Amino acid sequence: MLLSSLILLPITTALLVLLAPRGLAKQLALLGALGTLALCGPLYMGFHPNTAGLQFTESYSWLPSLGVNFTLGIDGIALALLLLNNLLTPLVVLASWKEARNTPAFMACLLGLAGLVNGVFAATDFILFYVFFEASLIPLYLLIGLWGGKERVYAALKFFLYTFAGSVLMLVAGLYLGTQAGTFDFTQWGPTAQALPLGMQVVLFLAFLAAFAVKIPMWPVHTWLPDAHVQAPTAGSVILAGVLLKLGAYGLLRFNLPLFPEAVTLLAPYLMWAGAIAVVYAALVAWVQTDVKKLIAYSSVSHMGLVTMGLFSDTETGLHGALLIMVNHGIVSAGLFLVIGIMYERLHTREMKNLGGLAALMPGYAFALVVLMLAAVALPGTNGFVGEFLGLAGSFAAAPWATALATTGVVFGAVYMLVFTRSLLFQAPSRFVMEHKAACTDMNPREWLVLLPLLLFIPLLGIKPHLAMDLWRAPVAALLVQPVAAPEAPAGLEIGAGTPINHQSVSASTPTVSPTQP
Amino acid sequence: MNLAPMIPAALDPAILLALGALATLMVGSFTRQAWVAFLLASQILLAAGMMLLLTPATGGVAFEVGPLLLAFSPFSNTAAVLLIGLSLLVLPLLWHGFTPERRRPELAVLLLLATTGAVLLPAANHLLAFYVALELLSFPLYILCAWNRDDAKSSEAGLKYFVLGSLASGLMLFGMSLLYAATGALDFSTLATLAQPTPLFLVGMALMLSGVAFKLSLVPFHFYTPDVYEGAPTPVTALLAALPKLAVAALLVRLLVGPLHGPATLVAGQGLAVLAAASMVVGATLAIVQGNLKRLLAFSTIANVGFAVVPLVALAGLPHDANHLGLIAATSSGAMFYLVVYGVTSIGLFAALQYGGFGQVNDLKGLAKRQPMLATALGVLLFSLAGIPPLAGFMGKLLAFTPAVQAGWGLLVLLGVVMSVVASAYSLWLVKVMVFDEERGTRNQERGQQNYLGWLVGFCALLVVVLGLFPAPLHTLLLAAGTAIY
Repeated sequence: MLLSSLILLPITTALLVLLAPRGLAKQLALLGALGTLALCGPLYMGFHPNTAGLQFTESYSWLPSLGVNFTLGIDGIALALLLLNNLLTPLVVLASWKEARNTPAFMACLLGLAGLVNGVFAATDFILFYVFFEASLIPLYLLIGLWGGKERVYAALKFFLYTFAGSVLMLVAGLYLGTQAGTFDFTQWGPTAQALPLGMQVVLFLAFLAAFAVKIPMWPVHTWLPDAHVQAPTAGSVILAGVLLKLGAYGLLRFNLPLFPEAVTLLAPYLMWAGAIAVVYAALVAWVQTDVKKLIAYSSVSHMGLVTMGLFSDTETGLHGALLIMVNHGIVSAGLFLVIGIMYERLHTREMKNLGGLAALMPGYAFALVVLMLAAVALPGTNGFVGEFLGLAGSFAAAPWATALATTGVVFGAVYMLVFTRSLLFQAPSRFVMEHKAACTDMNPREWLVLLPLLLFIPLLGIKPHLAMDLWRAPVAALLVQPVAAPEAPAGLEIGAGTPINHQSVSASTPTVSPTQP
Repeated sequence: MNLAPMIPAALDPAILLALGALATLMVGSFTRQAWVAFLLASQILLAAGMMLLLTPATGGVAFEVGPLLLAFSPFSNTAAVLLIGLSLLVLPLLWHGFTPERRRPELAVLLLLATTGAVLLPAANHLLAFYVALELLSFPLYILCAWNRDDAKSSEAGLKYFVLGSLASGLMLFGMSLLYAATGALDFSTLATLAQPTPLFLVGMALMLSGVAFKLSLVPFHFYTPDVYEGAPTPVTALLAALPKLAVAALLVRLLVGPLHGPATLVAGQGLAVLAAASMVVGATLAIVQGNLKRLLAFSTIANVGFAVVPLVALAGLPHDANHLGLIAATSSGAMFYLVVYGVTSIGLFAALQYGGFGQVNDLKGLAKRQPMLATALGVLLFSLAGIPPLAGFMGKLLAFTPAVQAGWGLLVLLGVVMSVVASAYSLWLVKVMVFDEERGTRNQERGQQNYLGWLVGFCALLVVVLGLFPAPLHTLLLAAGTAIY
């Protein structure tokens, strides 16, 4: 019941927020978000880290005629991302507390998004996964389109169509695999997928990649991200960078890596090069940005390039690195977007030439920003270092030259982050800042409350990364031990071997399962 | 030919509808009160629906000697219930869609007659019955299209639909006569045993199916659709988008499983695949450039019927052995589910257009600010039309496309999903206009007196949400129907 409550509680709260009187909306939203976070407590406590299997499984019959069930279950990878998502939700609700255009609908979108993303991480049925994956587009589309900046409408449409176009290809691939395997439970697709001819495997791999590459986003399909980020309101940017980008990498971990190991071996070199190009290219582009939010948006592309490299390195170190970078990026980029939001609330500008000298005016703010910056440039001792080190070390074993290229990108990363810090904090205050000196008050307690949890995680995960890594050690190890071909074809395979299968056998092979919980 | 003693109980719902139409006509003529006729019509529709649900029609209807004209089956009964449901949804729209002086009792009569034809169509077991039922469905629609006779566009729509519809009927009759020439049979059962892919048979089949494609607005038989949709009064457009599409698709299922059975269906399937592909491409792309909402929705119909025909393409090639019964049920139920959802969505959309008096896309500007509830309902309907989960439109595509993939039409499905992305663009664009665009200048106030229509929009939106979250009951029903098509 725990996982379904994690999905239903935020969504129900979102509906209540819509119906509630206007004055109560944000209090109710915060309550719902904190309640969801509280539910993560028993989830974390009851989790057994030593197994790669699914835990907290639930199953309800949903569309029996098609063999589609409402099945949930998580492993360590999903748990880490679930925790991240539910940690960020109350923070963004709190961060948008004073947002001028804040309405019940805004809060409802935030909470709905949180519930749907929980669904993506918890679903083990492909159709259910797809439903959550796609449905999460709607609240973000509204968030960007309704509460975004000047070019919000263009950015919202571009965001929606890019991601939708990518994911329908995944839908067809999933329908194909589901009908071949006789079940839509994707944890059982492995043997079926690996028994397909290699060409078909590559095609399916690419179809899944299309959905996830757009979401990550991988170079060269990343162009929607800077637009979406710059136009989105602070809360939207935080969730987008903190959680939604992880959906892509999570999808790769759930589908591409375990289902098509041969295709991975075949295509990994190219994908690692694409990752390396993303790291360097995005870092260089970030360097020349004058809008600080766009700068951070490109830094996301750069970091996600490292994630891609780690994922496709096919080494344990690389996978651990990729996952750590995902979690770290979720914390650090969320923090950076929040910091930019705090500044924007005061000055209503994000242009570098209008900024500067905030260190003297807002010392507390400067402290928070510098900590986040140090984590973003991966200074040893911060969480960023462990992730990037492991990611690069793992990638080096698989593709030394691409990794060498990517490492230069990390240097550029330090450059643009320092440029970013200087332009906000240390360069001589611009005339604009001098004119608006009165507005530059230091962070208030609410803003500290929003940032502190994130700031605490930076040294914590920097010194004790095992807190996070222990969660996903078993599933990562299981990912690397791939059965080349199952010795005996399971029942689903015989039905689906090449010929169209009897529809009734589909329903018969997935009987209605009553709710279970360990 | 003496029919009277042969009428079995199976015909009761259809007879109730037909006699009900006559009774409504009489009552309407004597009272000249439209509300009496509408009330009566709604009761007749409800009664016919209940009758079908409580005692499903079985058996068949024949001339004194000879083959069955109509053969009732669980499939035809399920289709009939759903068709009656769609008519019931259209009824309030018909009431509110006309000014009091044009709101005549005959509107209800024509709706009842069209419903009678629609209900009989899926039960047709004979080319003659097929033709008569189709014309019974079509004629009231021709009249309804031209209902606003002082409006040039409405008259044009009626005339255009009538002339082109007659042409299609003529082609269809010619095709039927060729089928008769090829086989010497008119009833579906005999045709099924004699169907051979001879040139004569294939030409006859092609001509007959082009008539069917005309009613479905499949490309290249779609040319009338935008003009008729635009010109016809909005409630009639809703009826056009819902009722004939579902009824004719149900008939097409029966044709593909029955008389066109065998090698001929393979050819039919390939032909339909081309039509479906063309419809998806043309409908989805041309909808984007429309400025008039009704024309936009017309192209959307073309695209959506294309999507719905995808599983029927898969159905066409399936052999009738025990191994494929499940797939036959899955494909037919997929198409039916899709069109039921599409019908509900269209009725909701057109009701919203009628309610707000929207004609052009730009009329929707700033609607979210002015009427947030209407905008929410409309948004749900549009997202469903775009096929975004968890709404019913997505479930329809899922249920339609999955069996098609299973039957080996993966590439057609691939085209389908790519086109559904293109098609989602116009839905999103409408949402954008409605929610994100600021209103420029002042506009005349929306007509406020038709408050009940807002409830209809909301009800349709609610149905779309419920069918999306809990598709199992309806799909199970359709799947069961799909196992007993004859």
